[in-house]
Amino acid sequence: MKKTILAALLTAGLAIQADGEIKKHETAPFALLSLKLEGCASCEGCRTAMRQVVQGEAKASRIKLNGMTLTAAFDQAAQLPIGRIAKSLEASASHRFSVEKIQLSVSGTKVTENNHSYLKIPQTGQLFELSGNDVGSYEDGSSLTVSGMVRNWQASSPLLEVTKIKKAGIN
Amino acid sequence: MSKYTFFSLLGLYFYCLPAVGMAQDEPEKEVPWRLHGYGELHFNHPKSGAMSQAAGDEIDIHRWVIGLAYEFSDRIRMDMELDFEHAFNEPEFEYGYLEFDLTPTLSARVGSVLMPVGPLNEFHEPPLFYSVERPYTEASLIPTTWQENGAGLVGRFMQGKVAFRAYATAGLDAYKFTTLDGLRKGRSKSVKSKIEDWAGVGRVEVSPNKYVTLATSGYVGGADQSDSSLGYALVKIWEGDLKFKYEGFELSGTFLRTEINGAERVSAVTGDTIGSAMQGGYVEAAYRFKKLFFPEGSRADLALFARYERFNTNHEVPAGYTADKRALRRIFTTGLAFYPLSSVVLKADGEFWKDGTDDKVERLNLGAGFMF
Repeated sequence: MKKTILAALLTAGLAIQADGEIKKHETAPFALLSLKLEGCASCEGCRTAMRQVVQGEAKASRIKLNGMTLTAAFDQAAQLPIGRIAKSLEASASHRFSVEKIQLSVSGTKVTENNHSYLKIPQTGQLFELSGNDVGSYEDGSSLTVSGMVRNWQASSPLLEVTKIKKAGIN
Repeated sequence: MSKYTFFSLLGLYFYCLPAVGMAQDEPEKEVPWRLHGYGELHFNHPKSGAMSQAAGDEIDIHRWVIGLAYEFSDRIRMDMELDFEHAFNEPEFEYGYLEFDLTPTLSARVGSVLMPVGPLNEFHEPPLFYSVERPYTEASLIPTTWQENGAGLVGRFMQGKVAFRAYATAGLDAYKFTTLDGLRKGRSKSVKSKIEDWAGVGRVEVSPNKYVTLATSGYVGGADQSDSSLGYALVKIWEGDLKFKYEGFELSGTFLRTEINGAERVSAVTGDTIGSAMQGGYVEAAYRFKKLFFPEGSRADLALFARYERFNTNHEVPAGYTADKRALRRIFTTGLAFYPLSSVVLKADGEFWKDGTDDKVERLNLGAGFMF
């Protein structure tokens, strides 16, 4: 009887813990991270693995899977551990995924250090090195929303090859 | 059914309940449906299962599976697969469950689940293994494809390096166990599963890095289903497996032992010699020639593999019974798997069988498979 009561208390505790887990969607995310994967994603077993691996690292507001592309949306400013996410996916237990391509859309402030242009996330201090023809036309201190391909994602300041750049808040 | 199992399931239900209720607040997703599936065509010379060179050849649409996933919300989804096995001659509900995300790295499932035993039973799509036929150790001892009705948890820890699945499911039916096929015919296939006896099953996988995966699975479950003629039957399975992968080289191994308490009574009732212990495993080495044969950027690949299996469904038999020598099987399989894309495969291999009576057979297999 004691064991039964303990089991009931434990499960009740778990139920309370689960309460309030769901976050509501917001319209304009701070960042959208998109990973194109290669590997098995046929069944929900693999797709659950992909979700859990990324969420374990990224704490994204939500994750969407469309074919082999996994998109993590961050509603609030947060560290974007791109290297850790990719590494975790490639080393995840029982599943073999390789990360073929990473795209990122994120807002921040342009800064220049050692003749290199960076996008700095003011809330976290995270830096992304910027490359692309249009980057030079924006002054330091400009608030920008930048989209592009992430290269050298293992580095502490990954390179963002800019495909689209605009002043933050301007559509 | 024990009260502990009852309370555990009740707890799981209440654990999922908040996710169910709060999901009403979430907006619907734009494209909630997704189709997936796999299939495989086999040519066997001589036909599979025969221990005679003169048994005749066979070509078969072995498995053709269509799956459907539906996302009710970001946290609740359904997934299922229908298997049109042997060209719809043996249709099968491969699996079907509801999944609830409890935390970012922990989900609950309820429905017909693939049993997390061994490396292949849950992840058995043809491009994921090199031989035309699945490893016979897993088909005979596990027995893949093994699905049961139940509920449980799926999770990951330590940056995805540790994964686990744990379910409470319907037990096997010992009345259908056989000498050579072991537990295989005792599966309910999720059809009106007898659940007088429950089972607990779990698997833990550890990947310290991208080169190595170590895993172990366990299963304990009653199998008499309150059939008084069978008395008390309990099935215990322990399995361990290892995968090593470096550049194009891959090495894997699986060992499995099944014990049946009450095998004497089961043997007496079924008229077969049911092993009180079944045991076996395999080792496999493979090399992928992608970098050697195909230009950079090509998605094609070619794998050469060799596998040795040894298993015995009469490894130990109850007192008073004699082990059937045919139950000991040794199989060497070697061949090629060509991947024009990672999700499409063409296979060719040879199997060299020898059983405990020294009967031998050599089999040529050709196959084509896909997954999406």
